[in-house]
Amino acid sequence: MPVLHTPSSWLGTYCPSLGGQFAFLDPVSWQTHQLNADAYSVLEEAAFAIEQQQLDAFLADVEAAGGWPPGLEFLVRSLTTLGEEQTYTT
Amino acid sequence: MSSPATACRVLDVGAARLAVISPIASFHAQLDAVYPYMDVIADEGFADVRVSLLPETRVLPGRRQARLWSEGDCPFEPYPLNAALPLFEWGSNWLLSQRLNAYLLLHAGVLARDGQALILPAAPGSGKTTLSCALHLAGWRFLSDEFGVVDIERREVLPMVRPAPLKNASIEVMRARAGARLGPLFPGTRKGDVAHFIPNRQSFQARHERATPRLVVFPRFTPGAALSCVSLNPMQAVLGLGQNSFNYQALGTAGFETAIALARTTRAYRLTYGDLDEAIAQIEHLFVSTA
Repeated sequence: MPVLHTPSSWLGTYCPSLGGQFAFLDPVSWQTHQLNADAYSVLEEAAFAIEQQQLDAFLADVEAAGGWPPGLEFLVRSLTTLGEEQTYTT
Repeated sequence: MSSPATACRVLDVGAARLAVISPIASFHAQLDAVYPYMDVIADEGFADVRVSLLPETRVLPGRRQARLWSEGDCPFEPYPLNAALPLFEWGSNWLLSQRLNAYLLLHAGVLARDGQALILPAAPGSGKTTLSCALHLAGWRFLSDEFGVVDIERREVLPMVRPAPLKNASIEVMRARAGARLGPLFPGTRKGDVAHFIPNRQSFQARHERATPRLVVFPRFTPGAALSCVSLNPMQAVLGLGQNSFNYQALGTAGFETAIALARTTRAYRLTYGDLDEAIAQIEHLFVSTA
């Protein structure tokens, strides 16, 4: 039975902790990225914002806080595809 | 029964079956030399890779060549007619790397002891083939020098027992080792001089016996280098496995989950060495210590 993923469920399934780091599987490129705990927290907040349809406000907060940490904006954009299109895995 | 020169020969190498047809008599003799323990299989239909090795129709004086055909296409440049075996081995390996997507395919040597697997993922030129052959001569079962074939559900490694192409200086290094059996020498191929190391009968016969991953070592041969062995954390192992895979991204979530599982259930190290025997001793130590 296919599984429908939200951004949060994707993070829960495809961003496991490995010895204090997190391995994030990008649902668009299928590349794997190494994240520290802070970066993981940003993705968690972004995922919640996407699901609450508050991504614009989240992006404004990021901008006000000085911009994106290196490389993270790209990964958040990938998470938005889970909000816009239903992504299935088996 | 048809003659070898016209028959379709099927090689069961464990995780895959290869079918090849060729009228080139010298190729069949070379194939017999490097697959001495392979049963003769009548063509029973299925093969993962099916190729034809045919003489070039346009013959230049002194330059008779062979082409490898696969599904109506010639994916590689021709080789000299008398070097059809390296063309078949490399060409069919490349085709396998494009097709076996039911497995996570690592670019790795794999050996085993007591059903437990040692995986040696490495980029080309790292000394992976030479190290795999040397470990085999030191008593390890040979599963592959090229493919770490990982079952994405059971997380076991399947053998792909084929002759290992030694190149240039590695040929004499291995020939000097007790018990080494090599096929014919092919001088001056595009990859240099090549001779195939032949795994022993027991490894061929065990080509359907899987092994459970236990130790992952990323080897790097550097001439003159002192032995250096660095423990890798699971994250480094995942990234290393992904980088040394033929189809990690193509498998998407399945490749990711398999790499994560491998990293969590094995110990991983990066090994730099300049002396083959020191590397073997270190790997033996690591394997025992991870029991």
